Amino acid sequence: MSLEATMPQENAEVSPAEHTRGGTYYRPNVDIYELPAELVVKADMPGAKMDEIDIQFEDGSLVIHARLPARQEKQGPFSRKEYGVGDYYRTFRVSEQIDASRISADYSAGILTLHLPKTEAVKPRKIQVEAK
Amino acid sequence: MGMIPWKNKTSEGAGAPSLAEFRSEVNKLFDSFLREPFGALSDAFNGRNGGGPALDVSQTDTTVTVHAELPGIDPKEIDVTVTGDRLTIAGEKKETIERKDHDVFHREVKYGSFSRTIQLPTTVDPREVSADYANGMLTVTLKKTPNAAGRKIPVSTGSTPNSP
Repeated sequence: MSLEATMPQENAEVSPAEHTRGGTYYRPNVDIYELPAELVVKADMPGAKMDEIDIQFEDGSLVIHARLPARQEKQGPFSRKEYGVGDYYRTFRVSEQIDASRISADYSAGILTLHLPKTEAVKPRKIQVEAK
Repeated sequence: MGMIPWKNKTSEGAGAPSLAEFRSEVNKLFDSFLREPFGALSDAFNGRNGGGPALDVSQTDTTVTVHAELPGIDPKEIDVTVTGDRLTIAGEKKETIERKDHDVFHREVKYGSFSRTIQLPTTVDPREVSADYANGMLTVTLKKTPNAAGRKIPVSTGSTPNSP
């Protein structure tokens, strides 16, 4: 299995803090590791809620989308505001050597971890986020 | 080869920022410079996810709340220090991958020690600071000192100045 083939190709269409489809989207930073039997994607997604993280796999694309709640509700004036509120969104192109039916995900301490087991590609499916 | 537009839509009248808006932006710039001369510079140096976490600071009448994005950090490893009206958040971000037999395929996340110090908008009581960590977000709540909390001074109207 070549590295090139298994590497999820980043879809360059979405850039950080892009305003599309009526909202603001942030592209989370990710690290991707290769283990003997799987690829592991770790995405920095602080402030997300587990039940608001939506992961879809279809047609060779893995899509991560997380709605973010307003971080500071009904607070006084801001004296510093360095990060905006918007959704996390990122897509990856996954090679056919990943077994899509066995992709799993968990979320802990603001990091989303995806496990992409190696094998042949299978049919599209929706991936549930599990509690950790 | 891409085309270079001669004019943006905003430069043609209607959408152009008004002089008042421009003036307010310049005032803000001066304001922040006077409060924290190299704040803007050091922030730029740190980068959004580099040396220190991105912060939001908001206030109520009695409290100052600081939110920091710190994904994947053990709360026990985060140091929150208040000295006078300065708040320092420091710690170390480590990789969270458990297994050792991995190859790094692609790297965007930065690891290592970070420290960030900001000037708080008011003086606070260093004994009344609480910090909470959830979902990769650190929330520090500080209590303003009584003097800084702001007191509304009623304007009396009863007595008229005595005239000879």
